[in-house]
Amino acid sequence: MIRVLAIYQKGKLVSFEVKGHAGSGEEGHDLVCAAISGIVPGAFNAFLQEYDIEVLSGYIKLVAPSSGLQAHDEIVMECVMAQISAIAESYPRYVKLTRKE
Amino acid sequence: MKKYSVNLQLFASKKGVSSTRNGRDSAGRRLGAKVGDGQFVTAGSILYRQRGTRIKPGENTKKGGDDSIFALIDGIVRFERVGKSGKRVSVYAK
Repeated sequence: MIRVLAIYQKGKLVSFEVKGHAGSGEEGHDLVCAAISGIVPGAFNAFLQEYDIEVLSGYIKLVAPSSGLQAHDEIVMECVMAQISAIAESYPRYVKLTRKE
Repeated sequence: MKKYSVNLQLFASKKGVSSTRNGRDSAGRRLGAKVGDGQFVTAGSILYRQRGTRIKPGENTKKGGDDSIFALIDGIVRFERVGKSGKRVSVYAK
C-alpha cells in the first residue's frame, strides 16, 4: 500500500511524503503505482521554485521552506492532493491519503 | 529548475525479482497398507510399508529392514488392535 502524508500548518503545506509500494500488479503493470508515480513527480516539474525534494524508489518527500510554498506551487500541490484523493477513493486497498492540520 | 523524470513504476513493488532457495520436494514414498484385511496373501508378500512401527508385526509376519511388514506364510491377512491404540498385522493359515 502507498501511504501519502500531507502536513499543513495554518492552511499551508509544510511536508508531503509518499511511501510504500502499491502492490496492485506485477512490476511494470502496476496501474495504481503508475498513477501516483506520474502525478507527483510530474507536479514537481510544474513548480516555479526549487524545494527540498527527495525522489527514491517507493519514496518521495517534499519539505516546504519555513515561508511555505509559492502561491502557484501551493495550487499545484492542491491539484496533486485532489488527484491522489480521488485515486485513494477508487483504490482504497492500494492508496491511503492522510491530511494532518 | 530541476526536472524530475517520471518513472511510472516508481511505487511498484519489486516482486518477481527475488528467488527462493525452497521449491524442492522428494517423490512420495507410497507408504501404507498394501493388502486389505481378510485378503489372501502368499508368503513373502509385503503387507504394510511404513517408517518406524506404526503397525507392529503380529502372527506369522515379520518386520523388514525398512520397517515394512511381510508375511511368513500363505494365509489370510488380519489387522488387529493391540492395547489402547496399538495395531498389528497377522497372517493366519486358511
